[in-house]
Amino acid sequence: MLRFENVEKIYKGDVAALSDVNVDVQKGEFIFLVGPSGSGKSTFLKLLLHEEQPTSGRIIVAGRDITRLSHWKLPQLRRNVGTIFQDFKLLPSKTVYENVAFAMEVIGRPKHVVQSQVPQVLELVGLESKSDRFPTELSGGEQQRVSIARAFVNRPLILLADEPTGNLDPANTVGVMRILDSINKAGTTVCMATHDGRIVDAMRRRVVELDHGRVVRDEVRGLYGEGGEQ
Amino acid sequence: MWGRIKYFGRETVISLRRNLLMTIAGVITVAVSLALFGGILLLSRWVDHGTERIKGGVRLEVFMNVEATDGQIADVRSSLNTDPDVKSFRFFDKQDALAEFKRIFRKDPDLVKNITADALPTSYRIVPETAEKTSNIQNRFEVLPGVDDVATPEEALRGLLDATNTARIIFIGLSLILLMSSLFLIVNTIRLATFARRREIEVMKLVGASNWFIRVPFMAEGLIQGLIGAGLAVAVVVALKVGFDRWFNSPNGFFREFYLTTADAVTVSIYVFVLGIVIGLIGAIIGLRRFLRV
Repeated sequence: MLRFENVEKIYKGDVAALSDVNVDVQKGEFIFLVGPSGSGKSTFLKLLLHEEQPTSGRIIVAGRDITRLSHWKLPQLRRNVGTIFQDFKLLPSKTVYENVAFAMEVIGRPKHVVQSQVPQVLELVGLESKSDRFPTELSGGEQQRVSIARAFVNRPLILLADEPTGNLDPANTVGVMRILDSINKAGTTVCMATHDGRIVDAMRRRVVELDHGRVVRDEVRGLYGEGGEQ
Repeated sequence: MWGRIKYFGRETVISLRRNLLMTIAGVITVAVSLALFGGILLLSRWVDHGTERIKGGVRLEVFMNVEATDGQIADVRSSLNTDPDVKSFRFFDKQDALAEFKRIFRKDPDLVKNITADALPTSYRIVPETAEKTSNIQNRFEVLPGVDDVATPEEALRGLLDATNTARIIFIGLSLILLMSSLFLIVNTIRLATFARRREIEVMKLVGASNWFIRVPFMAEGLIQGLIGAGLAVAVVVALKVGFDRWFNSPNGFFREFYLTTADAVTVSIYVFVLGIVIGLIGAIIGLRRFLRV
């Protein structure tokens, strides 16, 4: 579903942000990407979104080598890859419902599909009663759930999460992780970059640790620190 | 499809309203520059019509008698062919004369109705080697058999032609400068619009909206500014056409040979319109170029 082959990324005149990265993620897997700041997690995700190009190596997403993706095919990649961020990136002038519907409208989904899908997804994230609220009226956890709904409403094959719980308190963190878990159980591959050791330890999923741009650990049922199953 | 059109329409209107002052500035500059451009095109055509007789340096007209024989006409031609002071000439037969007569007296239909080609003289339009030779040629040809008169078209007309040629260059230059500034204003408006909507654009890119889908509302915004500006300019062109007809309609006045047809006004309006559309679209494309990089 998602494969890095000998990927190297060197930013202009700087040291390598990623070097010799080989990671293979199967369909339906849930992986944590861990490592200190500057270890290359963000670069990893940016490469997957085609925001940056690798200096060398290949990146395969859903069977397609995205390093040779032509510019006009980029939207197709983005439709297969849902994304959520630490800062949610919700549109403040739109309600919860409109924020989620927007993601469908702008890729040209017909109105009746939007009208049937959005309430379903809002129910999935437990916000069906708040669909007419604006983002500023919601808690951080609720806002992140809206952004998950928006990322998921077009049924992407892969969900990328960049520190999705970075701004949340523990209670909201649990809520968000439950939703990501259930989305994963429904078959979506989830790739989540995080600093939060408690989540990683609680979930016991695959852990890929980066340090100075290299993969230093790749465990099937890992912990945040050392000591998971190899 | 209909839903999409509604979406684009709504987004465009919102964006135009959000930058209302910039939009108005853009529209006004487009309108002024295009009106200037259209006005000078119209004036050029008006002068072109009025100065047809002296186009190409014609300074002399040899009018034959109405009853001049073919032999006399041919003799004058051979004299012209051998005259060292004559650079070139062209023959106006009775049909040409009738066409010109109808044109000059188009505001006097009674006069035109009662005239036939036979009643009009043939003539030669002559370009001398140099302007100073004009009176020499006049003296030589006045006396030939069958020649009625040798006329020299008004020098004032020639002065007008030169003046309008200069004015044309100056005004087209001015309108080009204004057109550039209106282009830059539209570019700026579109940039502001993309900046105002950068969050939406970011989300659209993130969820995989196609580049065209993101661009269309902005293109429409530039296009609408160009179109409204062009519309105002066309109104000015039409008003000028009506004004020219009204101000210079004396059948005996100096400007009796000057006129504008409806076709002139339509052609100029089309130029103005196309230019307005082009400016709007190019402005939008330039304005979008930088911001829409992923």
